[in-house]
Amino acid sequence: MSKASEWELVSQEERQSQIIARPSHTYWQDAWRMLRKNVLAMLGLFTIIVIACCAIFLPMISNTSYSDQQAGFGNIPPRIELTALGDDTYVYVHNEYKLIQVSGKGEVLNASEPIASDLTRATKTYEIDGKEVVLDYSYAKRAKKNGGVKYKIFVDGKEVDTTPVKTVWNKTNILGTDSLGRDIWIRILYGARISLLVGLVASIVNLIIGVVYGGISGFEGGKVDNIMMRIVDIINSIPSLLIVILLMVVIKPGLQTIILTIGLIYWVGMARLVRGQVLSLKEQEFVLAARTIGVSKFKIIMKHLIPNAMGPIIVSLTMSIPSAIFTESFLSFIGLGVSAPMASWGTLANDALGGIRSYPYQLIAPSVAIAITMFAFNFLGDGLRDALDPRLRK
Amino acid sequence: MKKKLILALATVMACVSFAGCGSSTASSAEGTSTEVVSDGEYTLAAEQTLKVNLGADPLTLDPQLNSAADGSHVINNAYEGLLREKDGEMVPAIAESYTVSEDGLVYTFQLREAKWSDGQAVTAGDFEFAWKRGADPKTASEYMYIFESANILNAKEIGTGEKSIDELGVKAIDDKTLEVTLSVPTDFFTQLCAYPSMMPVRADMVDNEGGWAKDPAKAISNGPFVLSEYKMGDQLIYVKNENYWNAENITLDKIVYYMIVDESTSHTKYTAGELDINEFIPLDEMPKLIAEDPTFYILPKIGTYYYAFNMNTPELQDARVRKALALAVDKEQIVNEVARAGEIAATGFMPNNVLDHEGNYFAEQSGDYGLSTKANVEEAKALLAEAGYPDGQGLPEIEILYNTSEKHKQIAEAIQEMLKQNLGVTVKLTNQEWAVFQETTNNNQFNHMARRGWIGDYNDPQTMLEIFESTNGQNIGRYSNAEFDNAMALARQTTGAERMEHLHEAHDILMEDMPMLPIFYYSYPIMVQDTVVDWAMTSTSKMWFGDVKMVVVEE
Repeated sequence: MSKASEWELVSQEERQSQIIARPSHTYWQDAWRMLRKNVLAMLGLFTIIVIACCAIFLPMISNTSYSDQQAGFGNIPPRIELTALGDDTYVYVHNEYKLIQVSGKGEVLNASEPIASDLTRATKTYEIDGKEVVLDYSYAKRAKKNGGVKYKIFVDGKEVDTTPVKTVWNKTNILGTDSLGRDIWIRILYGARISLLVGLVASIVNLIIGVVYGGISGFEGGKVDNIMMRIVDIINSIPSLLIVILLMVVIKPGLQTIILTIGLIYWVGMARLVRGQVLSLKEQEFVLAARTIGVSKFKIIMKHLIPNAMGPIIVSLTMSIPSAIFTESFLSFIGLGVSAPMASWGTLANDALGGIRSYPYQLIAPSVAIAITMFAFNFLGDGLRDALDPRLRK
Repeated sequence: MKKKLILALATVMACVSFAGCGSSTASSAEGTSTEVVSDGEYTLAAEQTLKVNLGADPLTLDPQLNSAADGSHVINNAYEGLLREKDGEMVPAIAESYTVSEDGLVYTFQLREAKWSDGQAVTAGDFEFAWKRGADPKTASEYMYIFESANILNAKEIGTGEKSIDELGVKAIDDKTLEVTLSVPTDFFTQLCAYPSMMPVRADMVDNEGGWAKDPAKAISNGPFVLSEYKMGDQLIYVKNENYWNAENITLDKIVYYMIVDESTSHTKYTAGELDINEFIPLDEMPKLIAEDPTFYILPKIGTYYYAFNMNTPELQDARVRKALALAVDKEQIVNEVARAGEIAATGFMPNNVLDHEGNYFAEQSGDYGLSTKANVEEAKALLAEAGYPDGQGLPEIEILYNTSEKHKQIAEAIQEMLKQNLGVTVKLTNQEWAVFQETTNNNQFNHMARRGWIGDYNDPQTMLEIFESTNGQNIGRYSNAEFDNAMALARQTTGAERMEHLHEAHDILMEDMPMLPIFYYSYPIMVQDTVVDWAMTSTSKMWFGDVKMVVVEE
């Protein structure tokens, strides 16, 4: 039994569905498509953009500056335990045994000097809302024996209950203040400007010098490679601190010096990495092919070798941003950094270290900022490596 | 105002120490030395070991070469000079007695039967050797000038190389008699007889670099404790010297000096009970500890924390500008909210615990020169305007140079803000690492102001004033005033009331010229466990452990 026709034309639709092809994309479009699919990388990118925007715009609209000191308001934490003095009047008993008037909502109102301060009896007398308030902290020294009672408060001669009635968020300084009474939130925002700028600029300088230097060295090989790598060895063998101190003598300390120093020293790692990659890649057939058709050396390096080495480069780059941020904080500490009262995140963390027992929040805030930034850069770096590696392309 | 402050300090001190001792009582001795004396009712602990943090590995433990505070704590307990300061008075130590010639120039010391830790006798020759070693420019001791300050005959000329070291005014008449000749009668000479640089060393043990003093085989000493072990960068272990002349009254068996640099670590170790004495306390913890911890003491210290003005900078050559800057700083706020370690806000350069020849406070006698511990903004502004810089206009950016440290930084930041708010002067802060900083400041290479602290070597106004003499190496601002130099020179040649008059005159000139911005007088915050009794601090801030006993404290 035969049919009229065992063969029939496939429909246009069916014909289309058989074609195995994809729309033509450029290299960067492709990379972006890959990157977009990576949730963590996009989260990282988003975080970096948010931090950068905060760092750029928030200080502009804020009415306090990183250097504004409020006498008497030092070391006030972000969470305030309130003690009620009755009639909607609350005070915060500061770690340093002084009373700070706070509203029920958490606005820090008044840190006036006591009207009398008796060091021998360990009492301080304040005038709050027309009432005489006495803080007697003579119990502090015997707290262990007294079951933990450290102070008593008397309002117009009557003792009040010192158990905190509630704990509120600090509305005036959302992340609290440092020991000179400066707002930590504002200082972190200004610090972000410095840390991010140093991290980015230094890494880009590293990238450019390192890639070009390593690319040339690896591709040329032979004598050129030998000489160039020996120069790298020499730079690497001098302790960076020594170079930094020598530079400090010549150039005035400041942000430019830091960027210059990091740029001058830290590209050697990148150069070695690129050279290694190029050495192995240049023996491959596609390079031979490019050579035979007469592509220039520069083009071979830039168009064929570097994109193939992009994975390790990107990873190294993302690692160099956090390390640049760390280096900056170290340099600031030894006096090469931004001069006080400007502060980068590293300096802020460093400053807070002494008071870690009593005021841990001062350390936590900049540390969290550093940690978030590090995570964001690392996630983004991972995503970029996957997206940019031609061998991983599907 | 001033009196009140002193009174306030005295009461703080009394309060702090009384509360601190429990079963013991505190006595703040005459002068500024401090001693916590027990009343004798205690149970000795089985283990008589004292653990102290030095904060660093001392550069050297050689009595003549040492110039650091950590080294002098150790030396003060390992060696013994002719005299020793106890309760603020100079008591006989290796010298049993001494006589002074009528003109006050020749001191004859009679030495007691004392032995070195290896059993050899301590002789007058050991002292002669040590003093000549210290005064010899070839030894290159940083404290060579102390022999000149003590006015020992020919010390100055030997320092400049005009005379040979053999001509130093010190001579061993026989093994037990030492004769010291001074160039002019010197009131504070006996004080200096207890100074580390004046302690004896053994000619057969020392070397030029001072390395012997850290080698247990060579570090033979004549004090109550002798080196038994040195672990580089970690520990120094001293044990009781059985050959010490007063060994029977030494209770401690062992002192372990730790070298913990980090204040947080050191404080943690102290709170865990692994340290008995700790003076390295984080700044931010101080106010809380002062109020809460009964083992926290604030001892007086002779010293001033100040900013030196560079007198070679054109805009600072006008005394009105210098005064305006000094007046615009609220020292009280710095002391209460920044420094916070019980320091005393400064009104002048002379610490308020420096005594004159009659035992009165020198600073109290000289008055406060119209300076208050609070900022005097009105007057400061007026002075600045008078000098041609109304509201700071026309004045370049002022630079404050300080050495890298959390405390110095915070103080500099506070002053920066005060000068900006009160005078409209913009201030730039620059910090340098300690070694670089010393180089910069000693060579007068700073622009406007440099941080400085000066700790007195002996309790006398001269130790504070002499650093402003135009030839003094410590005069980093290069202040030079012939009248001041003249008054100081006259003070060196006179004694008693007349000398004090010259020193007061020098001080008046200094305060009129204001070549510095005084900030506060130092205090000595220290934590000592209740289990340590009878520890003492001399007036020049050296610890004395000879009377220490470790006791059992009942909870």
